[in-house]
Amino acid sequence: MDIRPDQLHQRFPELTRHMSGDQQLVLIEYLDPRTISANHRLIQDGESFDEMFFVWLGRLSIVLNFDQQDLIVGSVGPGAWVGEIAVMDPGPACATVVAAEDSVVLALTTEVFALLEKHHPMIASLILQVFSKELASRLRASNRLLLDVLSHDDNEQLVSSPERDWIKKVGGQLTGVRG
Amino acid sequence: MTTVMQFLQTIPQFADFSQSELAAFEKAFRVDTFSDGHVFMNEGDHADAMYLILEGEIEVRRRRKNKAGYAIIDRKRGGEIFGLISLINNEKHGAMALAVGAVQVASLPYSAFELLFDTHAPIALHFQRLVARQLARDLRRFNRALRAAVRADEVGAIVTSFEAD
Repeated sequence: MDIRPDQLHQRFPELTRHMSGDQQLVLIEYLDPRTISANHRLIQDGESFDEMFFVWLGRLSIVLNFDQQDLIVGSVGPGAWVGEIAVMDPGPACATVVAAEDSVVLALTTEVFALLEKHHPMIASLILQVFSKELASRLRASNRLLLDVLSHDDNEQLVSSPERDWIKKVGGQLTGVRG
Repeated sequence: MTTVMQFLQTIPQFADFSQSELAAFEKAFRVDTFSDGHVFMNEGDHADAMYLILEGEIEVRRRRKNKAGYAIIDRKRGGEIFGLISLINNEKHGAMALAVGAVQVASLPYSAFELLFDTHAPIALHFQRLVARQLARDLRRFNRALRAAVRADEVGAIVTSFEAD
């Protein structure tokens, strides 16, 4: 699959905002386009993972397991990305990511990102800045939600009542689902 | 007193840094020891520094909503960084951080942080990776705590989840 820098910029304006056309071209070389079928699982909740995915086409569902039940907390489409924590600090996933429909993703493994850091430190630096700003915003929001829980008089009632919207809100925060 | 250089050499997060980069960091940091209860930042304060804990422990607290007092939302120990969120997004602090017992801390002023975070020299990339890793770990920990909260029978389980780290 051939992707041009202008297409990459159009799809991921926030990520590429400070990159030149040449830098975008380099980044494209480091990304691995993959076509995946509906229901294909990209990331499994709780399992270690070492790659992230930029959504080029299609839609991915973010699923959390609560009390033996899978709960879809949201979905992301073209222009979004999932699993960036793996690039920053590989470890267990905090959600399952599954293709909601046939999709195309651009994969970036921690190993490939390390090569990008080594050979093109400025591009890696620009990416880390974008990811860090996003993670800082998510942390602040998570922090606020945690306070909501700690301030609640009857946490058990809050949790066990059929307030699935609330759980979805928490789930969205856990996974960084936007919109 | 532990020097920043001696300390940085002992923690894996700084393994990528060269000797000259570590030396540059040492110059940028200021090391101080604070006694129990020292408040590093309050909710609503402007961010003016990033802090690296060399020895000891700090607590992060937020004022409870509609209730008196504070809730402990995080604890950080040697090798961990705090004060990042507000610096990165240029916002006021959303939480209070205070010393639990005596704490030795290296602080990096906002101007130095900005220089390292917003530029692209090799030393800046290592610093950005360090910051990104800390944020990712913090987010994982918060997410675990939130999950515990959703499942918890008691709020105490949340605190336990932090203590297990």
